[in-house]
Amino acid sequence: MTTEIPAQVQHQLAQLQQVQQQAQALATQKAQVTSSLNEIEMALGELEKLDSDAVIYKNVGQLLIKGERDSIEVELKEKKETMELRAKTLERQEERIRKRFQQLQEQLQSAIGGAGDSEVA
Amino acid sequence: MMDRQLTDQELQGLMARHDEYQAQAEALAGQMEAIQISILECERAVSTIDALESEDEDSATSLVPIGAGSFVHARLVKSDRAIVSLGASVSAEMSADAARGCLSDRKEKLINILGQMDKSLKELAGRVRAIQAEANKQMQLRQPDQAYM
Repeated sequence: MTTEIPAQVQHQLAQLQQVQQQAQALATQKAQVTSSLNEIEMALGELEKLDSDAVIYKNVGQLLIKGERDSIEVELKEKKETMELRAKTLERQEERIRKRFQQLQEQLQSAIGGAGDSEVA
Repeated sequence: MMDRQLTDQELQGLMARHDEYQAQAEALAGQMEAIQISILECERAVSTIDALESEDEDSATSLVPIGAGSFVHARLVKSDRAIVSLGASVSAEMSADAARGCLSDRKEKLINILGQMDKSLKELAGRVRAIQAEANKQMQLRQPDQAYM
């Protein structure tokens, strides 16, 4: 009985690991986007609660710069739209990666099964 | 819990689930720590607003940190107003009372989230314990087999 893994299986394993890493990277990105989206929604909600004459500041690095409430609100809404779009793109990418992972997993399982059968034979 | 002996593949699957739950639990614990820090920050900010409000603007001696454990003298103006971050790089100026309210609301929300996370953590810990118990049982079931090997 040989313990050496066939080259084809090794290649499929490497591909599987690569896809897994891509999936993890995508999950991290999605978590960041979701977190930003939640933060923007929270900020917009807090802005709505404030009086119309409230003084609003924008954080620029370590500094706070006084800004126009309306323009800040518009900016936040635009940022929200961008984040929503980004989240949808990431979801689609995640779906593609998930399918690719399943496909590779099945290929690998059948390759290992095939190798096992030929060994038995 | 299984009463039969698991196959090697099933046992590997069980161990993979164990590692996955443990990793999830560790990540959750890390997030909970960050939330606890945020809760403490809210409390500290409210305490500071309270302390500054009770100070006389003219007589209060205040020192502003400039880093490396160094400070500069600063005059406190508008101690009844505070600028509170709303998130997403936006802050708003509000009265001391409104700031206290905003920060207290935030603290309450964070406490609720922490409670939910604690529940999830306990669920995960339960799953990890159940897998560990199953793994121990499987080890015992396998030992008589191994004795013949």
